[in-house]
Amino acid sequence: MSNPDAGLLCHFESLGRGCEFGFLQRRAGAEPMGLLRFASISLEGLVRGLHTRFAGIGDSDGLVLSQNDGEYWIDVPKFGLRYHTELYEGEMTPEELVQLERRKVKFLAAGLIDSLKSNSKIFVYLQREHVTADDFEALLVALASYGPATLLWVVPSDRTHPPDRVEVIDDRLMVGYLGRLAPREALHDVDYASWIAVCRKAHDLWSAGKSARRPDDDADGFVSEIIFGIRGNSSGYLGPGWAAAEAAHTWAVGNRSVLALPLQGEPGDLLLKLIVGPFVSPPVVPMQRLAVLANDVEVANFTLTREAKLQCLIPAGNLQGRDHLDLTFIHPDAATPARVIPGHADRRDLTIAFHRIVLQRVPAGA
Amino acid sequence: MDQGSLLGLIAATLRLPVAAVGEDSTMQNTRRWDSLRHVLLMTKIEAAYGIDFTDSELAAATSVANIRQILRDHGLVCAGSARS
Repeated sequence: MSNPDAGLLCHFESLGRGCEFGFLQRRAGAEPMGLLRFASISLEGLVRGLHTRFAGIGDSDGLVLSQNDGEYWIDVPKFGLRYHTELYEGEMTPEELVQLERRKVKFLAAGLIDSLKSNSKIFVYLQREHVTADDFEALLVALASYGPATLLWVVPSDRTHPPDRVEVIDDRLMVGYLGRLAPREALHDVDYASWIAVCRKAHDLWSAGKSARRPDDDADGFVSEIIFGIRGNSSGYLGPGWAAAEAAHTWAVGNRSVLALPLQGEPGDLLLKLIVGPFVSPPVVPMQRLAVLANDVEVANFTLTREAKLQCLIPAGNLQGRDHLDLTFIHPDAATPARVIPGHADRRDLTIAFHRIVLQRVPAGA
Repeated sequence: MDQGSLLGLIAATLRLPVAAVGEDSTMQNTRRWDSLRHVLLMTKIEAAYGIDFTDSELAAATSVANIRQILRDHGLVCAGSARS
């Protein structure tokens, strides 16, 4: 991924009003998988899909295969979804293709839902035709059902909204103004410079907490943020005890996992915030215990039965004379899904899925 | 199946020369490794190693390195203990 724009564009996921954003990512060299990246979906179908978590999208009778100029196309009538397969007659049998597509849409839908829940991306909707206020509101309501998901609504610029501009409407909505839309007959002909300008501004705003950053993250005391998952920034901090990154989280596995975070200067007392979710499967695995050690000194312990936002204080005394903070997580209730859930194939010793960690300075006198 | 065979399986599935796939190959830098062929590839790896991937593993297996890590998570050290 030598083009720096590719990294930027992997922080975005299309909500599917055509393929223009997918082509933009391709031109930059970014090839993230996405359910709606090269898809057309009606706004009504998108809202239905978001509300139902795309339930049944991979059902055997849910996909309809057709051909156009030798290329196979897939329709998912339940959600008004239609997309290219980029596969031509003769490469595989129609039956094999449908089987693969059923599995593909199911796991891509799961990834979209995961990203929406974790607010780990900015979701892009390109408005190509008139959208009523009711339909727009319906989309916002559907997105809000996942939590603090952020929408970048993209429209062509006009007299009052110059190109490359991004407006923050509220903590979940930004509007970006493009120099021009790609022609319908040549969606790959994107206004690259304008798209990149809009995405960079939107990402900067999002990252700086001016859009969807949780309001409890005090930007003044911000020390560092670790985002887990494939497109997060956690890989450089992980010690032993972690599984491979997944779409929007990383599992701590076994009994112990370690993070090493660099520190600059003497930060004083720190507040550690964690967004985590336990592997539970009652009654066999009803909860996960978690102890947090900061430079080998226990600072907190928790019992988790569901996803939670946790926080604890790391006293300055634990950090004195250190240029880094070793966070050790002790989780003694590891369980293997394949052993506790009938029919489950996962044989890892799972404990707690880490989504996000934030370190903040505690203000003097607090 | 040894390490080289995993690369061979990936190359064959993507219909690429074996030399076009290496340890640093990812979906980003490998031609034809799109989402559909990704599912096809993972299905073939499942068959070759006698395992089943979860949706999360499918989503995470976007590079040769990640695939090897996932195989290790399944107890297949260095991808060397496959059934075929």
